[in-house]
Amino acid sequence: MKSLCLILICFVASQGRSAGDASGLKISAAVDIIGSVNVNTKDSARDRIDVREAEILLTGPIDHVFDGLLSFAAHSEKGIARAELHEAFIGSTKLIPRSQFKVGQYFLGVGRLNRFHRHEWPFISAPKVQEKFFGAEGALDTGLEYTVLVPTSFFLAATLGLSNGYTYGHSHNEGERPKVPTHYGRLASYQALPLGGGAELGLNFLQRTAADSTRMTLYGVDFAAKWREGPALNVLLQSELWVRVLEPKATRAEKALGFYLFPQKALTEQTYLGVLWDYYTVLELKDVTGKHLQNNEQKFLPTLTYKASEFSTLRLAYSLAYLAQDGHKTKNEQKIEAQATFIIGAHPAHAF
Amino acid sequence: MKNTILMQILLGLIILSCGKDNVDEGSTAREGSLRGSKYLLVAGEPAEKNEEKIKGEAAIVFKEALGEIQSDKRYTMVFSVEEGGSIRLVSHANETLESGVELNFTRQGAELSLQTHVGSQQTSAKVLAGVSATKEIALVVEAHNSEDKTHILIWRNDNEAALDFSEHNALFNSELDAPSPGNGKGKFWGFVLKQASLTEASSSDVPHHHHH
Repeated sequence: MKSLCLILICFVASQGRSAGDASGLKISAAVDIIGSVNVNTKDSARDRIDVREAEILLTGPIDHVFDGLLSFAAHSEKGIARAELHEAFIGSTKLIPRSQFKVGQYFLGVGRLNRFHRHEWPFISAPKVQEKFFGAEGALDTGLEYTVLVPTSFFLAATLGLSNGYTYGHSHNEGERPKVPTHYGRLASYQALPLGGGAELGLNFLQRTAADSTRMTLYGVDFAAKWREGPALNVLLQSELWVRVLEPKATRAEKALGFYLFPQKALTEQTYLGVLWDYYTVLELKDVTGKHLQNNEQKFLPTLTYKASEFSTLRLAYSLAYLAQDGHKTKNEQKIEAQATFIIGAHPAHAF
Repeated sequence: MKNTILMQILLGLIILSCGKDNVDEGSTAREGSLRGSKYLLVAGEPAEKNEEKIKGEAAIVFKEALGEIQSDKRYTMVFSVEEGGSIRLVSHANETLESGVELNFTRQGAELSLQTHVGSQQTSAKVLAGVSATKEIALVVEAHNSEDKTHILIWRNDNEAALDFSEHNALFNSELDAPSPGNGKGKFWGFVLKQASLTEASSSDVPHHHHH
């Protein structure tokens, strides 16, 4: 896979293509560099800088009906860069009226963070609920996804998807044929807000039954509201709340709830200040005698962002994490996180 | 009338307190604590059971929950095994230590071998190189139950070991040495001892950034 990635890069470079040409092909590369330093503990941060991800993205029209997207990404895992296929799909917004679809490998179209590449997130690392329910980067699979604009007087888009489900979350093996493949849906509505703002609200559902008969069901709500002043994003308010029900065979079902809330305000046209509130709890957690255990993990991350343009981002955040569970001393971990991301070439824009 | 009611209340209190003592006696016999970690005796009767040691033939489940089913936990354990005996660490199991990931350490002569089980699936036995079963053994074990098939890692934790808990330094890595047979489906952990003694056992979360 690493060789294939290098061959692809060399081929593209040898063609002398620029960021866009008459064929409509757009090529871009994105790099995500992060660093973290422990403040009051020894092992909540790595105390080093790493290239977390490097991605090459090719998009463009295949013909007058279909579009295609291909991306490779290299991630730092166990200190070694590991290149792999990220997304590869064919789709169309022209074939079926009021609809779009894609077939191939892609990040599942649920939630807010899961539909964006990690280097485009408005904060440095995945909130706990994203990491636990979707993986640190997001849930990726191979399948078919269809979105239709429902003919109503207001904006309403319905998405349905079906994917193989051999694995879920980050995995280094092929996985096993599931009892029921991954299937999901999202219902989203957009509403203009006063003072030139706009907000999108999504209701989400996802389910899969693994080969060992463990059934996982996710219910979630995602929300994003934005107000712009010229090129600057003056105010951003983003949030997701998810509940997961895990039903293994022969043991009790487990329910967990997590959410994050991220308000951010522009200080100048290029600098922004936000605070991420991250919360996660296992519902109805009991000890072996059946005694209910209160538990939760919370994080507060004030985050300062500098964007010279849409192509570069520098971030600095201070993480205060609290882990509380009955019978245990509350853990308090603090660390400093930093991030630098850049894009070179023509990266496609997201709708909202 | 008043005296009758009072007698009935008194009688009721006496009966309740007798019943409570019986429940306490029964549960106290099945409870224990190993260096502050409380546990329940699931099966067997250990030959020795105190705050510093549990020895003999017994199955114990620790009272604390691991947190959630798809969690990654690190265990430290100090134990010794008699010839032909074994000690089994059970991770991510239910309250009676079923439906979990089982790591069975067996002694034959001076060698300690490991076999992992999930339900009816098991791996072949692997001898843990450099571990002498003739003396007390200190290990650190990680069970990453959030991964597709629990990823198991084991290191020595004695004075001679490097104490570098990275994958390349592991004594055993299920991704390289023996593919894990599956995942645990519960939130509890414990041990099954057979001609073995356990002098230390604790669990903690695997640091986030380790091994990734």
